[in-house]
Amino acid sequence: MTVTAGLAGYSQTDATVIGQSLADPERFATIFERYFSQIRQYLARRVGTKIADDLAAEVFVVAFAERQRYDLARDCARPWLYGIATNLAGSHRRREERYYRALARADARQITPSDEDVIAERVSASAAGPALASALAALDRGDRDALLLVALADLSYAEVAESLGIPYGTVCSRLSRARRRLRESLGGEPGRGRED
Amino acid sequence: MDELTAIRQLLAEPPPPTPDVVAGARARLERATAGTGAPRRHFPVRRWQLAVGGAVAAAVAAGLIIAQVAAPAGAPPAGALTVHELAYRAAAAAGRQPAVPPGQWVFWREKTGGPGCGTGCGTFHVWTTADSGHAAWVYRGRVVSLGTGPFDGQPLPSLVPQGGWGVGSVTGKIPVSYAGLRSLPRDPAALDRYLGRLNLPHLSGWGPPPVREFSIIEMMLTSYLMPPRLTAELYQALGHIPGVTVSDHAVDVAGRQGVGFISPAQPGGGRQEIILNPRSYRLMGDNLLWGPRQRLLDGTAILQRALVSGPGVWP
Repeated sequence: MTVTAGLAGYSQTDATVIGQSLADPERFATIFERYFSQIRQYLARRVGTKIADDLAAEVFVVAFAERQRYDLARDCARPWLYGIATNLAGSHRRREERYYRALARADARQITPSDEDVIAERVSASAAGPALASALAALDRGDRDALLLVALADLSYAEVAESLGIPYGTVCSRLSRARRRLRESLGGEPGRGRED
Repeated sequence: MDELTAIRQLLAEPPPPTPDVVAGARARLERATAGTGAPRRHFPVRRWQLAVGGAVAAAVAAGLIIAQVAAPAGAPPAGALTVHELAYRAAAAAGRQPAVPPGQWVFWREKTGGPGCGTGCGTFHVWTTADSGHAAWVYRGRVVSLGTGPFDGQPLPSLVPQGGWGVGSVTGKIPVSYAGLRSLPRDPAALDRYLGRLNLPHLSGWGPPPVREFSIIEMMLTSYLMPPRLTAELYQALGHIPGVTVSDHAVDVAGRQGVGFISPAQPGGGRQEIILNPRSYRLMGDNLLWGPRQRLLDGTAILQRALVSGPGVWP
C-alpha cells in the first residue's frame, strides 16, 4: 500500500474511510475533517471567500453522494476532492474571470514585509499582478484548471491528471501552454521557467 | 520569480474559514449523510435451511425453505495488516498444503452460529469429497449419503425434533465447477475480472462485481479442497478486489480469534467475512456481518478438517 504525503499521520487511508462510509455514512465526516480547510482555501483563492464558503461545503456533499464511484485503490482522496472543487468552481467561471480582471485593475496590493527576500518577491508580484491577472482571465478553462491545481493546490502532474480525469500527457500540454502564456504576459522569455 | 510563484502571490492565501463557516459546512454534510442511510433490502442467507425427517430423506429435493433476513449497513473494523499483506500470507500458507485428488474424502467438524442461522445452529460432522461432489454422515452407526454436490459450504446434517435427521444445504450454486478450476485465469486481477463477469442466477443484480467476486471466492474456499496453487491464487485474487478490507480482530462462531477478509458492502449492507487463523493463515471459518457495528448474523467455524480414507471414517 502506498501512503502519500497527504495521508501522513493518519492511521487509516482515505480509501479505507470512504470504503467504510459506504455502509456507515457518518464515517465520511473524517474526510471532511481532513480536507475541508485546504479545499476551502483553494476555492477562496479562485473565486473569493464568500463564494468559497458555500462551494467548499458543496464539495463534500457532492463527494459524499459520489463516494460509491471512488476508486478505493487510491489511498489519498485529495486529488479527487480537488477535482470536484475545480468542477464546481467551473460553474462560477465568469465570476472567477471577473475576479481576475478586478485584480488586473488594482493599483497596488497591501504588503506586509517580513524579510527582504519576501519583500522583493512581493514587489515583483505586485508589479506583475495586473498583467498576470489579465493573462489568467484569458486562459482556456482547462488550461487554467490544470495550472491552478499545481500552483495553488500543490498537486503533482499525475495528481492533476487524476483530479481532472484526463491523461497525463494532456496535463503536460495544458500546463506547458498555460505557463508559456503567463511567461509571455510577465515579459519573460517563452522558454524560461520551471517544469515539474 | 517564475509564473507559479507569481500566481501564488497574486492569489494570496486568504484568512482561514471562521468556525461558523466550518460548522455550517459540517452541518450540511451531516444532513446529507443522515438523509441517505444505507439501503435496506433483503438478501438470501448463505445457507438455505432444509429440514426433513430421516424416513423421508429421499424427498430432500422437494422443498427448500429459503430464509431471508434484513441486513442494514455497517462499517468494517480496521485492520493492522493490509489486504495485500493478508492475501500474500494466506496464499503462501495455502501453497504449502499437500495436493489432494478430487475424490479424496475429507472429514469436517463444523459449528454454525449466530442469530441468522435459526434452528440450524449447532456442531455437526460430515464427510465430503475434495471436489464437493459427494457428502455423507453417520446416523445411528450407519453411513448415510447426503446426496451429490457441489454444495455451498458443507451440508449441515442434524437431528430434527420430529425424530430422524435433516440436512441443510444448497447445491448447484457454485458458478465454477471443480473441474473448471484449472481453466481460471492465473493473474489475480484477471481472475477477479473473470469472476465478476460470471452470470449467476442467484447473484444477478446482487451487488457490483466486487461483491460477487468475493462471494464466489468464498464459496470455493469453503466448499472445495482445491489444489494448493489454485487456493493460493484465490487468496491473491481476494487481495485485488476493490473495497475488501481486513479485520485483525475477527472472531468465529466458536469464539476463536482470527484475522479476516471483509467483503465490500452487499446491496443490503451486509458483509461477508472470511476468517483465517492469525498464525497459520489457514481457513478457520466465515461470518456474515451486518449493522453499524458489524454484528454477526450467521457464521460457520471449521473446528476440524482431516483427510480420511472414506465416508464414515473418523480421523
